Amino acid sequence: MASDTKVIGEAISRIDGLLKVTGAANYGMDWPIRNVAYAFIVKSTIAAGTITDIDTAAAEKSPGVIAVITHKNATKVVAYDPMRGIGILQDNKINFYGQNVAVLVAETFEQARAAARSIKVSYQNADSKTDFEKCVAEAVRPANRNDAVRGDFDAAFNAAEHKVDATYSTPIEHHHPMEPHSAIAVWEGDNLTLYSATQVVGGVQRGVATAFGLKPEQVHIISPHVGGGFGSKGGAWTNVILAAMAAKVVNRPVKLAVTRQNMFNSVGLRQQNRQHLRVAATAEGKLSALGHDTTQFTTTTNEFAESCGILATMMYEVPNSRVGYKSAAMNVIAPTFQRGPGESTGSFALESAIDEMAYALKMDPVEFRIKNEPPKDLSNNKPWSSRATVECLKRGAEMIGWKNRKPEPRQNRNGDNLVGYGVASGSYPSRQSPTSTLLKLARKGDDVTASVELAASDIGTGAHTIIAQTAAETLGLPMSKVAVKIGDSALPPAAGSVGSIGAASFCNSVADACNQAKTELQAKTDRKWLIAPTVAQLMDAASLNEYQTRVDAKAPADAAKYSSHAFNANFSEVWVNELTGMVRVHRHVAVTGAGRIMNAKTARSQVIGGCVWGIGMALTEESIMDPRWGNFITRSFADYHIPANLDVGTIDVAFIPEEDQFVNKLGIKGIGEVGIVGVAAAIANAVFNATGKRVRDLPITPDKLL
Amino acid sequence: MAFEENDVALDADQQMTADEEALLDELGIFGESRRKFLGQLGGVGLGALVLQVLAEEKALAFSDSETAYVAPAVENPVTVSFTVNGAKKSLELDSRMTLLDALRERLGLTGSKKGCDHGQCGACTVIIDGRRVLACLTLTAQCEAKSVTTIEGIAKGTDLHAIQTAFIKHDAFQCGFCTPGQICSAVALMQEAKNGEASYLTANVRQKTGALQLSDDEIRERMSGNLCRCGAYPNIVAAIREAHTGKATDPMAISQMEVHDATV
Repeated sequence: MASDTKVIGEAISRIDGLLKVTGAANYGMDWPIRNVAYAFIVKSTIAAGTITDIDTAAAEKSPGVIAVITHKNATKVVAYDPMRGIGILQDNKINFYGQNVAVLVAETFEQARAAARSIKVSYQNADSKTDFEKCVAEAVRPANRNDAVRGDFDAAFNAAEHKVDATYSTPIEHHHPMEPHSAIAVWEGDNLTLYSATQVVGGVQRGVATAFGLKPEQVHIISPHVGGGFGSKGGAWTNVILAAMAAKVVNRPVKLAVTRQNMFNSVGLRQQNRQHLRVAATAEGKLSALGHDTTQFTTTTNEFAESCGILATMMYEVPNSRVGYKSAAMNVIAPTFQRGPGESTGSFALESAIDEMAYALKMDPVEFRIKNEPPKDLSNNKPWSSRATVECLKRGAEMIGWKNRKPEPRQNRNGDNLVGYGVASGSYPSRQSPTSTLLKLARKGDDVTASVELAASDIGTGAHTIIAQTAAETLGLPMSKVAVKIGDSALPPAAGSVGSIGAASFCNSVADACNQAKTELQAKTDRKWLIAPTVAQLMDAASLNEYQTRVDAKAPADAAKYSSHAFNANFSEVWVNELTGMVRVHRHVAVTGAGRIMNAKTARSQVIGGCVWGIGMALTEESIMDPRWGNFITRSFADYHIPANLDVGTIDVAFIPEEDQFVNKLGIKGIGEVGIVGVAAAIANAVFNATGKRVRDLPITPDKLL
Repeated sequence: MAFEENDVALDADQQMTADEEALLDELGIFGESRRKFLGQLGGVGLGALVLQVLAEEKALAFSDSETAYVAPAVENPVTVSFTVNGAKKSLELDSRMTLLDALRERLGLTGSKKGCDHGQCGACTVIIDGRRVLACLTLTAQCEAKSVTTIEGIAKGTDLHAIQTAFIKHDAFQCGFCTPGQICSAVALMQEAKNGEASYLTANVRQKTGALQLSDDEIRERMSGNLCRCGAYPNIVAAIREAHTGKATDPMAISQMEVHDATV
């Protein structure tokens, strides 16, 4: 039996797999709630100004309509979040195109949707900031971002023999989880239940409680399965507030889902970035100066700055560097966290510029990176808790067949295709956030079952499964004896599935709870053991059939002494059709050093997912805002192309075995974010190697290559 | 068969909890079929998670959805009689109601998902009279006398379809939201391949062929109507390939390196 419980790290199929392949897993809109009414949101058609009149008479008479809610009659709620909470119908001000202006509630979805069309809104336009080119001329340093300076960048750059000075652009991108944001709101007196998928159970609970002036425990969030988030389900956006408001107004449960078209202006986005890179190196290939200046936008109500330059501060051994930011306020839905926030877009610029520098020096880009490997984190002078960049580069080069790469472009061909190889390295910080776990043990004879309860979330990362693995191995029980209860705000508070903190925060807390239970049980008896006792023996010795314990776990105190990151290297082999300009990622290799891997199967999948995201970022994804009106002219999956099955070739994933004793007790670094970091740069560098064209403006569409 | 390589040994009867046993007894799953059912789950057992969800479902579910459901007075009502997962259904509903909304909001079959409501994502894919169809682009009124199979009807009782077991084994999903549509699409695809039906990649569409052995690129092309934002595509292809060929493959395998000779 013992071998059955050595499960941490094994390639075990998801314990929620059966539910997901049979349609039994309930996402936000799937709960069978009786007597629901259906809500539909009406959006503004101007980017800035005020509502002067809103005519709801026809909508109110429309068949089936129960309520029409506008700023004139909306329930008073408190401003709860300057990023996610704009458009909760509290006044007549419009801050962006597509802001909520009304909510229809009707007996059926069809009736609500039909009535929404009859609402007539009159506006007073104000000057709007919707043209990125004009706005960035007035960009200033965000209050929360200081320049990161090391040495004397200007002097070193000016004096250098070899330089790259280039600007890289990334467009607005949208998260588009397959499950649109939604909520079913059910009030019972002053208590609110929200069936709503979220990455951060406690965050949505706090946001909604603040908005409605409730205690957090009066708001119950139920979210066992989350249909993707990628940063967009990090808190309560307005759709959740409006669902709760509508349910209050009509005094019955209300279902409200954001339509796919409205996913463009309801739940955040990744803002456009313009990154100016200046790289200098000696003829021997040592970096001497690195400048990374990012210009981006934020919304008029909230300062959000994606940290594009963060990798430039710590990836390379470069004595002189300066990293800065500028941002401009625009009338647009708020930018928010999106997979690899900062690192993914920043690595496109940095790792492209490093590739350009290596090419200028006639050096192999893998060797160039290895040659500039830093011995410690130069941004804070802390030692690395562990860093596998060099191993990742070497292993990846082997896996992709780097030796087939020709240093000069256009030397590798297959039929009509130019074949190219590219590389990029990347990183994302590793952190453990406070997470509590309640562990319940039940015994019948020798048979012990465990229930592990915490308000964690599983957004497809495999949290259910790795939590079960952790508990099973720590308690010495088979997986099937472990119940995992997550995704419910009534459970002990946990970190969110954000910023790659999930695995480290959940699993360390669960392991602590299991170890604590064993210690406490041992303390209840004088019994001595020849070999380590089972939990069943411990409970038997203590004459207990039930036992429960709770821990409030946090990061180890010493963790802050180290710089802890996951590191990776991406290698891409692209085929560029010379006749059509179409780029296909024929084969992609991602090698990651991310400390302890909790489940080889789900971890591999998550990294594959990061690569697919990177393919979309590199080749197809771009949200286009009309600079005159501030509306998105890309407003469906036909205009905003996320990778489809045929867009993705072979993806190979490997992990560098890494035992990190410092990052946290279990040595977990997290993989969700780092998976996308460097992917787009590896593809862009491969496109250069294939074609000789350096595309510095994502996405790399055929028109940029022909 | 599919899970031989799994490191977690399956010993169904020993690993079952009392609750699991009670549930399986209640579902009438005994002996060999119990072993087979658990085998399909990849060695992790029925799992307390599944139990918990089934219990919650039971607490909330309508006893017999379409009769317990009180339909609001609808405009321009139409009556549609059709078969869903083998059961005859007759619904009076709003003529604008899509099949997707009828399944989800009237019949309580929420496995089919609304990812875009515009026929662009494939999350609502169901099978109508053997062919895969987007339920969001199908009015229920079009379904008179037709036979609809949803994700809830893909398994035969507790006997999972080969595509379902392959999806679990190859981790062909992460968040799982697109999965019902992917699976319905893949199940219908298997039949299309048997029928020798052409795709965009077919070299000569006029040439009649027998049953097709699909290449990976054929699977990719024919599954490109089902978007997966988590990016499980390589695993989806591996799962469908395994079910299509009947040849078990290692879900953790790294591909053989191809070398492209320079010809310039």
